[in-house]
Amino acid sequence: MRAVDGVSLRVARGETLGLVGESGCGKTTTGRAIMGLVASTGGSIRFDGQEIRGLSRNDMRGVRRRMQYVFQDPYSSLNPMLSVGDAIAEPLRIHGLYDEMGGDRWIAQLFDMVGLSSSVAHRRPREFSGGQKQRIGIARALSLKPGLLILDEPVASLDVSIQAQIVNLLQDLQRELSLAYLFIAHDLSVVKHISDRVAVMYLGRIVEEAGKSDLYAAPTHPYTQALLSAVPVVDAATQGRGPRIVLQGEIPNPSAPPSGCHFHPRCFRATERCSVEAPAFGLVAGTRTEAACHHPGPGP
Amino acid sequence: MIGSLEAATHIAARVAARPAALAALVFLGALTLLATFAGALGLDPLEQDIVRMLEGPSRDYPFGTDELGRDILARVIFGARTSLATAAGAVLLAAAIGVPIGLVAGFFGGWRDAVLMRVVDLLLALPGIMMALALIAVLGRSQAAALVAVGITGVPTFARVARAQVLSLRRRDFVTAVEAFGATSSYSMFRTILPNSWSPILTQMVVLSSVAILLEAALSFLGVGIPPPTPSWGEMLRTGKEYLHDAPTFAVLPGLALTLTILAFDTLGRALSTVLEGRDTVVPARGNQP
Repeated sequence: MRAVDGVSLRVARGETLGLVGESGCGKTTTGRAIMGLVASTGGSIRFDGQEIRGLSRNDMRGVRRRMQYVFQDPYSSLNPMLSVGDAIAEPLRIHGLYDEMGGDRWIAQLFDMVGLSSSVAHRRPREFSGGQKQRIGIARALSLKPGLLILDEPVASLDVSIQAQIVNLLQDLQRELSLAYLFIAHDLSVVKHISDRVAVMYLGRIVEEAGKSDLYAAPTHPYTQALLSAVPVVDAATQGRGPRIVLQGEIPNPSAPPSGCHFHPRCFRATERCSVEAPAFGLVAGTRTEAACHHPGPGP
Repeated sequence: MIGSLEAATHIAARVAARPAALAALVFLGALTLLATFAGALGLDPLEQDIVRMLEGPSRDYPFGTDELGRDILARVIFGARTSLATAAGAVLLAAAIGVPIGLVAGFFGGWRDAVLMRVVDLLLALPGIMMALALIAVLGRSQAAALVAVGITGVPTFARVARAQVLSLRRRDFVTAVEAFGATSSYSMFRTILPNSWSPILTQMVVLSSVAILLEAALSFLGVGIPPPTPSWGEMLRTGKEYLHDAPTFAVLPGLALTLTILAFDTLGRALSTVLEGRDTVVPARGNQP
């Protein structure tokens, strides 16, 4: 099955790229393929200019030091048998860098960076709330001083009030450490808040990518327009937004995607051509937006 | 470490809250103490009082004497040492071989899984006692051979339990997480999955102890277990059955010790699995009451 196909993404240092789409569209697979956690059958993954696809186990270890992953579910991503201090130190110990990176003092500093007291280091994960666990997961991801964090729905399983705290924490950390983020989410308002650029994914393909303000103000792809019209707002009339676009049908089975443009059976702008020819991903004339659509343009 | 000690105390308390398990625990504790300090009791399992052989209970010999005039009580107590030590060694050996087999098979899957688990199935298909007899035929008759023979028969159980654990934990995020950090496969298996699998493995160790004791006794009963004059329950039963008419009390104590020990390990194993799976805190529905 091709879970992800023809996805091309770039994240620069200190920048956040939001990756959005419905569940099952391949966002997580994309993130895990970058980490080498799922094997990719083709394409290119470069980190700091170095091709990392097909690297040997040993060379990959070195790369993994510099990019880390934060999981969606803080409850299942921490080993229940390890104290949280040991959990944060685990990547250092795996790479044999515990003493080199500053040992206990660095661990205490990491607790401090994510807003926790290092006096809780000996406790088990079950003694913490979801938000605290996610802070621990972030501290753990930072322990090797990576350049890139892949954040896989890091706030989706948290309460709304906690979500904001974690998003703010992530922004502070990015500023201090000039981290690059690949922020995977389905919640468009969270993505709008944190991202510099946003890529929209549908059925394993990127359909539109643009700077945040361009994408939210003037989406060109019909799928993006439909997604944005579904974001709840307090008062649609005063916020200057058009009518809600309701897509017909269900997401097709990804193992047997539709011909041509994957989106054409549900698209309100689809023509004959869309069912035959897959659109190329490229700059939309007169905009700074890249999209994969035969008929890009403003609203329906 | 403080956390795991607390957890262990908590589990022990919940096991002890079950009357049958508590009785089993007390019995096994007493037996272990007796076996450990058997030498200090002033009993000699080898001293022969030829004049008084095959006697019934008396003040000198509370459970009588055997065919060579040896104290049956002393021999049963020293026999506990043999039984418990052989069983413990066999179970540890079985776990030491079986658990890594199951971990590797479950973790890598594919051809490794197919090859390893077919070997395990082969072991499982042979009756334990047959395989143990064959192994002793090869290794010769000694306590070490009995231990190895009993241990090998326990390997499939541990391999299957460990494999099942890997399969259920393999896709959990905390296992993926250590992979993402760059951990080696052996780190994932032995440092992450194994510590999270201790509870079913521990339960199997206790349950398998009863099987190991029974199998060791069976081997001795057949005359291929631990060689005399080392006292062993199975050996005593074997000799005792020859004198059922002349000394009916001969086989009673070793038989009783064997039965109670097996029962105690089994009861404890069941209680442990109930507690570790959290079933002791669930109130059964009324309809399920007998």
